[in-house]
Amino acid sequence: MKRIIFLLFLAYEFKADLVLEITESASKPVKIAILEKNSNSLSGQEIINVISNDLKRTGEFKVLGMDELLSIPMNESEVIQRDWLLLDVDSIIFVEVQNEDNNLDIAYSIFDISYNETEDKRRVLGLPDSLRQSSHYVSDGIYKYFYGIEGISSTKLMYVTRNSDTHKLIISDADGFNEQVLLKSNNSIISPAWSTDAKEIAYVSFENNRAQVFTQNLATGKRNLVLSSKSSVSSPAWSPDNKDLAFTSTKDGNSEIYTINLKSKKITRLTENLAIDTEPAWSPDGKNIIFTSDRSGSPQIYEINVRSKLKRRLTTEGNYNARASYLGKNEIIFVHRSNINFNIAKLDLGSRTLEVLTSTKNDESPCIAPNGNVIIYSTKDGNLSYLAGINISSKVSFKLPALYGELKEPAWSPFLR
Amino acid sequence: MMKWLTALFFSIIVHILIFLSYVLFATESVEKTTRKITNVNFLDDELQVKEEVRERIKSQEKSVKKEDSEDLKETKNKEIENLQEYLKEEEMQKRVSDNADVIEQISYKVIKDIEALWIRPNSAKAGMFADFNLSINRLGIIENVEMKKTSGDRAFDRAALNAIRKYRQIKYVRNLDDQTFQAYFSNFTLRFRPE
Repeated sequence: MKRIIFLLFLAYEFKADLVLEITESASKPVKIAILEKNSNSLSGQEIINVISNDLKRTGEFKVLGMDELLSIPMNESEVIQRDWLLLDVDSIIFVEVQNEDNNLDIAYSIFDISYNETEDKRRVLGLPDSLRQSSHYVSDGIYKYFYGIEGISSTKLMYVTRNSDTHKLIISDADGFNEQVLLKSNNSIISPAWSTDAKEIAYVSFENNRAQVFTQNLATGKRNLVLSSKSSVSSPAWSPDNKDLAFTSTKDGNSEIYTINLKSKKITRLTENLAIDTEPAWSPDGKNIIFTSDRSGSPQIYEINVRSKLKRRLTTEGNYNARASYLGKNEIIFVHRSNINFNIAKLDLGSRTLEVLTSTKNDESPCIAPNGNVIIYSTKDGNLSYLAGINISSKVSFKLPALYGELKEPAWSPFLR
Repeated sequence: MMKWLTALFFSIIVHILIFLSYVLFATESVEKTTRKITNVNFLDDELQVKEEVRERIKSQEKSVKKEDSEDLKETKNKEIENLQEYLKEEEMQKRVSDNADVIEQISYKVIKDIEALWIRPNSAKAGMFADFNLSINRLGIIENVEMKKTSGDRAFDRAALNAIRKYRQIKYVRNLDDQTFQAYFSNFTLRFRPE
């Protein structure tokens, strides 16, 4: 809706006040170029590569390659504004590698073409072996400058890989590089989850031939069995304050949702029902938990208040809605079956509008990036599972390279700074 | 007796019909003031104020005719001056409203152009807005941009300002007559308000 408002103040003044309202925006990426300042070093090129790929992956930036440029300035004073206006470039990012006391720092400045001046200057302090991670921090700084929310290039991903009978729980950078194996097992590992301070993780392991929830400290590697029970315990979810863990268990007969206080080991049963209740996820304020239940005959998403235990059904559209998590306070994302395909969908809890986000076919286990703007999920191409992602604001989808036979159960870390 | 009652009944019906037609007629004339092409809203005060001005002029004309005494000649002259001013204003206003279609078309084009240049940041939330005051010269070149109201979000303000900077020139105003240009486009406000 475009609106033009004329305010005519007649008898008083003869100057009309015209207000033009801009309400819609272009759905095109910000065009930038990344150049090394006053030098042409190997490490500089590597840094620029990492940053370019980080920004391109968001779908919200168009990073011009060297062959597309009309001139290559070594620093801000050499920028010929006209060349860059012709290319419709928004800004040039000048990157400078600074080697001081064996540390590798990256200084960067954002030179705005239409202002013809430097708008932002920052520096990322890094260790000698952390070139990629330092570059990710630069990417996040650039992303925040243009898009106003935190970037996620410096965060981590956790996922499970399977190659014949070997299952591995792996943590990598958000771009899939720098993999570290946390656990290797001959039995299935599922449902990995980060604590909100990123110090611990929880997951389900079948190493004792039944589903058991373990927590593991990332710094020390120390593992803890959360609840020793002969029945299955699965789907761990950390509360926002990391004091409690919600989980699913069949210890009282059929699958129900429980919470356990990790210090006192006190268990609270939340659901009591003959149907299957599973896959709990906490609301950002820790007051509610959403879960999947088939009490209505088909899997649907319900919300329960942790204190009052009052429940309400959230999904009504379709006969399969499962594995939900909150996207901010007022939205949830989940697996939704539309026709014959399983897709990732978003439901606005206020307006009740449902939006199917993905166009792949067999999508499962969606998880949300800490900035709330990217969703990563596992999907299948034939028999091969791989990880795919979608950027909510740019609608750009991407695929994570699969080095292993199967890649699934992704979990995105919180911000690590 | 029966005849009287029938007559009374018909008279009531006729009166109701007259009343209804009046109401319908009145609402129709209000609707005419909204324009359809681009949803431009003209504040209806325009008409009311015009009428007020006309009435004031009429009453002054009457008073001018009535007053003959010498002492009042000065005030008479002043009133005539006022009257001429009012007439002038009224005439100019007429011309401006004749130009409304042109203003509307230009505004629509400007909005479309800037929408194509504005890359909205993800931090933009509903209800957020930023106002910029634009001064442009007779050729349409944007000479000065001043932020009148910040959205409170740095990336939002930057993206909006960047769209204006990229726009540089509003070519459409070159064919406007000087008075309309001065009244509307020499200085106007751009509001960025995501929906």
